[in-house]
Amino acid sequence: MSEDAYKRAFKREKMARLEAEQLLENKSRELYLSSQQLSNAHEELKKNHTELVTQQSALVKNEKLASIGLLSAGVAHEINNPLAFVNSNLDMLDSYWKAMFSLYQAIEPLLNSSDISDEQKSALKELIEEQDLEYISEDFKTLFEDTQDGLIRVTNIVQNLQHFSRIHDEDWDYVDINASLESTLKIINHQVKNSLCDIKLDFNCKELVWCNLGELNQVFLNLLQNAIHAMEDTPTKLLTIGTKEQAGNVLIQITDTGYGIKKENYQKIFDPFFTTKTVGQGTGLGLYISYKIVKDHNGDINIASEPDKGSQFTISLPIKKAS
Amino acid sequence: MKGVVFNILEEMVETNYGMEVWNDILDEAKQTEGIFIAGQSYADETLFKFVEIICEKLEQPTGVVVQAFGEFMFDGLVQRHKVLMENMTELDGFLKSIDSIIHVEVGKLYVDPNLPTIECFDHDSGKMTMRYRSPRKLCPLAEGLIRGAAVHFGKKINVEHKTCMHKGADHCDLEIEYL
Repeated sequence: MSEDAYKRAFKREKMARLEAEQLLENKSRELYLSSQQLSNAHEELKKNHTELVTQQSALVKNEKLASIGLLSAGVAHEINNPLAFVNSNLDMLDSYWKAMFSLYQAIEPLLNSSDISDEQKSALKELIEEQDLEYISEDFKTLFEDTQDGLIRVTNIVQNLQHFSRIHDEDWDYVDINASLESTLKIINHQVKNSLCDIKLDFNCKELVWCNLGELNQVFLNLLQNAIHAMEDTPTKLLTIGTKEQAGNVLIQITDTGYGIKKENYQKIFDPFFTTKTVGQGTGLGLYISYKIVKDHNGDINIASEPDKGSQFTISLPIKKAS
Repeated sequence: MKGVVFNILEEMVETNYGMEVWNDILDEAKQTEGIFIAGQSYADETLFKFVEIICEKLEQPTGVVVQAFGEFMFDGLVQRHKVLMENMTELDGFLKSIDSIIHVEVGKLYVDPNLPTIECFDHDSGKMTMRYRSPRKLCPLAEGLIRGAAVHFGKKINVEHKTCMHKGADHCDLEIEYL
């Protein structure tokens, strides 16, 4: 066979190889594109799946909340009725006690006077000692204040439960926020005194603010009580309450020097039933309801906190009614 | 290094010096049977050994041989990957699209193609700098490929190797002037 024949055969083989490689490349490209499409479809499916899982968990959560809401409404209603007469009775008891106490105060000096006989004095002294009236007169005040404090807490819980189940009035008006904060402070005056914390007021908002005062008071109450609780065991106890205007909004800042909030809890603290307090100390509804109320006011709540240094809650509300 | 590079080198040697010379090179290299499949990866050292032997045979410095191979290789690649050149109509646009289009397409065909990174910068003078980065430091091959591309598009160019990885830089700058 001639050399030329080999060369021709070699060239044919080479061409065949190039064509085979071309074919392989085309297939590789097709494979690559199919793999890309598959990968995209897979990503899309994964995304949809994640969305579905999130939606499912939201649905379950909503369902749970709806059940809890119904239960809460029932419980709140049932507790509210006895609570009303307990509250009213307690006020009556207070006035009765004051009357009795004034009688005791009038009688007590007789022990040292000559207006009654020694026998009467002795009988009176015996009665006072037997009934421990001296101790009662001292202890009553504390007992009464603690009871009132407890009732305020029960009332708050009931109010929170009612808000949770969306039972609230629609009483909106232009309100002096500073006065509202002061009146809320008065309600918890007893807790403030017991906590031994200093209060600093820094009210600079001059405008009346469009709001539902009843609801907003509850927000203030929740935040102030939380601030006081946060400072229970801290050496510095300073509660600063400030208001100021900023770009058509009022900023209400409640700052404490308490133990602070951990960063990982920032997202959770506004969730219903989330609480870091021990069982019986908190329902985990306070901040959830506060958040909802502020959102209903087209406002916002922001937290700045540093563990062991303190927390600052800033509520921002539009001053004027939305047109 | 992908087998296609070896295939084109073989073609260049065979075209210019004959089949016997390529056989001699394979014998001398003693590293392989000389079977290279386009899409398969082979040791870089094998290619460098071939280039070394060719340089010895031609009594030419490595840079010159590699550059000449680059010029030849461009045409070889175009013949094999015509589809990649379908929308390329002029040299400047082609050079600027190497990293974003050509290398992306090559990535679809070969697994781990180990491609260099290429960046292009225009100068007010009308010149263009192509910045080349690759651990293989095959800047003469890149220069040859640029020259091959210029021939393909019928353009005359001047290439100046301003900065070089072989002189301690972390990249090479090839300044291209369109004549």
